[in-house]
Amino acid sequence: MRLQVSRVSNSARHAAVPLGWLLVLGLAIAWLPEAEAWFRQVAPNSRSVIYQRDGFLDLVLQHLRLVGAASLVAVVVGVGASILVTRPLGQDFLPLVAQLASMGQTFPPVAVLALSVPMLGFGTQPTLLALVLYGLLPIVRNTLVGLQGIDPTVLEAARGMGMSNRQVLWQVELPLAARVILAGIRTSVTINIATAAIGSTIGAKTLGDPIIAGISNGNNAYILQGAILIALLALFIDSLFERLSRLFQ
Amino acid sequence: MIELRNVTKRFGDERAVNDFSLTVEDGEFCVLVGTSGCGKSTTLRMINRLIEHSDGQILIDRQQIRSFNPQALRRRIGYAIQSTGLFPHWSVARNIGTVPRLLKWDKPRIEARVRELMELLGLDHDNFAERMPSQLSGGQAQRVGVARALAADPDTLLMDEPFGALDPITRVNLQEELLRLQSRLKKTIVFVTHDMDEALKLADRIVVMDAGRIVQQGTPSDLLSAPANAFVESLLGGADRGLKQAGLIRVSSRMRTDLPAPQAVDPATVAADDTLRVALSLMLWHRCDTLTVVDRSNTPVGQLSLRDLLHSGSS
Ligand SMILES: Nc1ncnc2c1ncn2[C@@H]1O[C@H](COP(=O)(O)OP(=O)(O)O)[C@@H](O)[C@H]1O
Ligand SMILES: [Mg+2]
Repeated sequence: MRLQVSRVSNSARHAAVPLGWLLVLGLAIAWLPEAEAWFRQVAPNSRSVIYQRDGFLDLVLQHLRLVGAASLVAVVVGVGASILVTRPLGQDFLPLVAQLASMGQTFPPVAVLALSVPMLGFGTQPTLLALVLYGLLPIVRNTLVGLQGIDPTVLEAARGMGMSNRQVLWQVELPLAARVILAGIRTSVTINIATAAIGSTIGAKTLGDPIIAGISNGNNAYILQGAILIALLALFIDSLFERLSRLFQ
Repeated sequence: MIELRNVTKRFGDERAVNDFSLTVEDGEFCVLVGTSGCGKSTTLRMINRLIEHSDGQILIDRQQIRSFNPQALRRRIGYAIQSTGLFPHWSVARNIGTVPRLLKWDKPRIEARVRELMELLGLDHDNFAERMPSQLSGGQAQRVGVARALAADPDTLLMDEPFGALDPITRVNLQEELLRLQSRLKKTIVFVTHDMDEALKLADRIVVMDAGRIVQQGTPSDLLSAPANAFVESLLGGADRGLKQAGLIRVSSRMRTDLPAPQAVDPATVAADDTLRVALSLMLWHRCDTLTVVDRSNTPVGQLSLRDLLHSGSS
């Protein structure tokens, strides 16, 4: 009985971490516009010290939407492709995909942006493309590692018991690989929260806006505001994943 | 009944199993034995179509296995393997219920069956049902593996070195348990091992394989008394053969039931259901040539002399 009580309060404590970060993020959004005196010290020579072209809440939500959409696509495509190339039918493509996955992360997202602008123009779409490509790689890599790391005798037993291929995938492979796959998604999302900011250089609305504006005007206060919000957003989302990954232990 | 008729399996140019013919009768415990790489596992996996055979025919209950859907076929054949292959993310109970769930039994029936099997294999339900496989000892895990193989009450059981990774004491325990189960359940079993002692102990019939072919088949005492060639002889342990043979014969079949006078009861005793091998060992140990045979309650029921042990009318 006592054990059970302590387990409940334990899980309440873990849920408290993401909630805590959410609270800090909320407080930051509310406090930043009021902290003029404070930011004045960071940028004493600037006319305005609080970024005002868009509300911070609006920027946070836009940023999240962009990252969320990109991550969703990256998860579906990345996990899907990894599953396909670990089936007998797609086996021929496994080396190619594995190589792309390990190579791709060395390709800087700025370069993807620069290359995609001529095709997709300015704005959200090229940013989305860059984020999807960049976010795909940790997901593919981890999904492959997760699926290939399963003890082959477990798979043999699953087939030997009479599971269909689909049952083996859903009941055995994906649950056993889930933790590693989730870790890949976590890396992907966290990296992309930071990476999305560069979308502001080509006209996507993100938390990079105050940073870019700050850089071009030599206004350190703007830069700081964007950076604080990006960091808090990343910490909040990461703590959510941390919480989620506990479910798979 | 399982029949393999001139079955061949080729991997590329290599023949892992070569023109292999074997009939395993209903209720028979058949053990395939041979050195590693001789094609035992391949033979076993062809029976449940984890591997498709290249040539020949395989029949179960007189029907071609290729006439079945492979999944349906496997659900009616129990399968247990060396490393157990337990699903690490499922509890013991859920592991055991795998095939019944695939067969869409209803929940109460699966639950009752899991209970029954755990009891059958000496796994306390309250203690083990909700454990995860990582929380089991090797022996317990293998019990769960066997229970899982038996779950949907298949007539046929395929076992690939199920006790190969266990320590000797646990292995012997599980072998005896399997024999006890088999005397009750009368499954048709094909059991693979590279351990001739295990084969001698368990088999109704031993099939000795080498390089994908059958070298000899017969009962354990057939093999011991007339090994077909030097290879079989070496598998049987060469000079230890006599001891192995003595290990197959019970004291009760050789003892004389005339009891010695009570004052002459030899202090050295042997149980009636021990083997002659044990009796011989006891004689060597006690440096005597006669043992008093006792039953389970330790009451003298006869005696066994070295002469009885060496000569006998029977077998
Ligand atoms: N999937 C496979 N592909 C190629 N060769 C295989 C495969 N499975 C088994 N073999 C070969 O077949 C032979 C018999 O293997 P196996 O049946 O596993 O032997 P055993 O179980 O008697 O140790 C070995 O030479 C092995 O290398
Ligand atoms: Mg083998």
